[in-house]
Amino acid sequence: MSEQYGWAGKILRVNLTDGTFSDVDTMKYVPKYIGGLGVAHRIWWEEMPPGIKAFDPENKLIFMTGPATGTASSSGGRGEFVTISPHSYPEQYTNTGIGGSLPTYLKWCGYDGIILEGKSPKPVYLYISKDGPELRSAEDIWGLGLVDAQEVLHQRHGENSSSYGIGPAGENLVRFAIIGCGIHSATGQGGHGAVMGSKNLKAITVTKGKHQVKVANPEGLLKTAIEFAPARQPMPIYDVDLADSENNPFWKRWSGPDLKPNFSINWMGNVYNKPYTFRSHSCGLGCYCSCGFFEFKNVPAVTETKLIHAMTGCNHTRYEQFFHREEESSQGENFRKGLEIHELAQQLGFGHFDIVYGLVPWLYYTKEMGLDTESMVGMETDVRSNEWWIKLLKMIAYRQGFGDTMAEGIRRTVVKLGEDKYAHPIYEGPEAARGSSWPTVRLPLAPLGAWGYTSRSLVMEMPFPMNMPGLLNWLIDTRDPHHNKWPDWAHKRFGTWMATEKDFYNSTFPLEWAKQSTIRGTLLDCLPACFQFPLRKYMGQSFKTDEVGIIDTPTSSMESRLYSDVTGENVTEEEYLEAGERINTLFRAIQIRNHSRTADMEFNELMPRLYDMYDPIKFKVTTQNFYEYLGWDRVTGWPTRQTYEKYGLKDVADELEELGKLPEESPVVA
Amino acid sequence: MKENRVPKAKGYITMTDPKIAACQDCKVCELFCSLTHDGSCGAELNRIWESSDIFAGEYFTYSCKQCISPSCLDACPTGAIYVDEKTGARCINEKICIGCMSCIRACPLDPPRINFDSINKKAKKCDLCKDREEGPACVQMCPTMCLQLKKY
Repeated sequence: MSEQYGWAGKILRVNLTDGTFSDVDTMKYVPKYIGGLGVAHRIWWEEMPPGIKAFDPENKLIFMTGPATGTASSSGGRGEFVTISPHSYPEQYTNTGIGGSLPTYLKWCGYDGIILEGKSPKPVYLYISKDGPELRSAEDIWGLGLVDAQEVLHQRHGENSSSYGIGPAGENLVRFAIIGCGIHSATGQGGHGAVMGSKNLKAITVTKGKHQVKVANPEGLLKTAIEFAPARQPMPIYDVDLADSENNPFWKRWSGPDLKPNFSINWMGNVYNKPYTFRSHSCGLGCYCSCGFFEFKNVPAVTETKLIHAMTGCNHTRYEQFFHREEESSQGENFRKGLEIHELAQQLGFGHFDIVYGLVPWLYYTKEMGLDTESMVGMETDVRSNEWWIKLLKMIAYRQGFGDTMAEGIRRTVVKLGEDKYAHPIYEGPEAARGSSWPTVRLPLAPLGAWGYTSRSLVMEMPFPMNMPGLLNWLIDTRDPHHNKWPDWAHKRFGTWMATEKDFYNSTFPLEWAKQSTIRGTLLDCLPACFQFPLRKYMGQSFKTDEVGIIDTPTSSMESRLYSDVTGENVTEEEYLEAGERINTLFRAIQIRNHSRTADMEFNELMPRLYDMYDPIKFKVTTQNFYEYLGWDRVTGWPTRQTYEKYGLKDVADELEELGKLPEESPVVA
Repeated sequence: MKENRVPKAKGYITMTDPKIAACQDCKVCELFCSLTHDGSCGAELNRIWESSDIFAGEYFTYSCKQCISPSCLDACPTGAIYVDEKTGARCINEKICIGCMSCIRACPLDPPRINFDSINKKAKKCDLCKDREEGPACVQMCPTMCLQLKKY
């Protein structure tokens, strides 16, 4: 390349222990590993040996942007954090995405990413500007809420600054603590905020620098953007109830495959926000269509005299849904209660999902089943009481009483208490949020998927075999697989598969679906681009061009074209997908070397979550088929040498062979 | 009545009524502005600004007002600022611009509606995308349709 497009060219390494900085050459890792998550994987492979725990100073926290960040590429303004996750059970290397302005501003300061190492002796925040990086004291903002601390930094560093940071939950090592960007975006899963807290790092603040990100084919990027963007429509300040299926345009234009009654558990049903208006807000720069995150401001709190400014939407409306309209004394009162709790959770710095899909339903279901969790918590469980919620969240964030146990997350809580009694029994009755006004549910007491994460509609909530592709996603991940990109072609073929397949356990369709969604999810986190494109499509955005290219073909045309336009590395869809397979295979190698992953371990993690829904012998074959489909050994679940070498990872295969972690039957390549 | 020294521009870029379309704070306008003009993106290349205070929930987009009596044009010592015949946009001929920033100092608006590329030492201002058949890129690409070319 005569000119460098996309990538800034260097990654900032920060030693928090001694306060020193150095640069890492990005170009060592690209274009082979694309950027973002791919580069993070490679750095992890090279720098992080097995045996390091989440809160050890030796654990690193890496933040990476991609080549598209800081350009006009669709939703390119996102970034990825990776670390040994304290949320994962057991602790494992895990990634999580986040938006906001910071990734773009970091790129405009000339950095593709940040490697955070060690542990600061005192609370600090990392400040990066055109003048370079520095560590500044955070003792005056330590203890402040996530949003409040960032507002202080915003006032200090001006309008052209943007911050990521943690709240008290992160400071107190709550295992599902987030890194958040004001009220607008956060690393939802993984507990990366707790790792930041363990390093005494309160925040990262970046102000716009002078670096200019060159785009190889500006006209091409514009053309690609227009081709794949949704048909535009005016998006005003909305004066409508989210639950109003007749008038809320996001409901009205819904075109997804999920039935409204089911999907609304996670969506906008039951949320009567009027008279409070809202706007759609993008979660990151470069978003072509805000999906379903709604910003409310000047909503009066219920328990305090203050006005709330908060985002809700998508899964996050669970807070608001716990309060039912028939019980409110004035219009919008229940919405105010929910939003106040919502804002508190963001200030404390929680990942919402362990709360609203994990601990709170678990407390509700255990009570309904006659198990005494109330005396542990020290108060009567009342999910319809906003005051109960506020006490509960503070208990967890500050690790008070039983809050200290719950701060370990839902999985570790039930493991400590005994899973046979507190996790595995099946609950049948009203859904926790919706109560008796909703069809009853049949769920485990602790509604968990694999690896310590709540299932969030992807395991027991779906019948056989609808959940099979998702289960295969869970199998090979280290967290919940919601960051995977389920391709549209799969949705389109799903009905036919369900109607015509004779042998679901030996079907290729779920293997294709699971592989494609994993690879494409990985590639989106490398470019980056938002994984929500299909969702946007269903909830009110219409696209002239199918987001996966030619209808009914498993392509990644949008991503490969954006990547080519930005970098000038003109790749075909096949070549781009192959890069995704390389990166995913490297992720697999990290799992195997650093976390001793095997096929048996994975099967034994997943199978107890499925009860009698799946035949274990037949499903074992399905998982073996999936490993083989990925080029991995059927028995161990480990990639073969041939697969590593196919993707240019011979050095990785050599190291694994020395460790005895290549499958025995793998062919020897001369 | 005194005649204007220079012809009026056909309009200027501004926001619509938020009851019709509201900003979603994505800065797509800024990004496509710099992409279509410079083939690069950066904080010193955009000719339109989306100013956001995320803690107050306030988002405001602004650009050059294409003043009827453009003081930037008067201030330019090299004649680099000119009026485009077709659109009336007040434009900068970057080949002539010497990067003295006189135009920025002369801009009567606060903040000034002219950016400065400190790497290439060139002033950058909105030219209404005078050479684009589709019109201004920011208006074309704004996902919520909250930008408009408001006519004088």
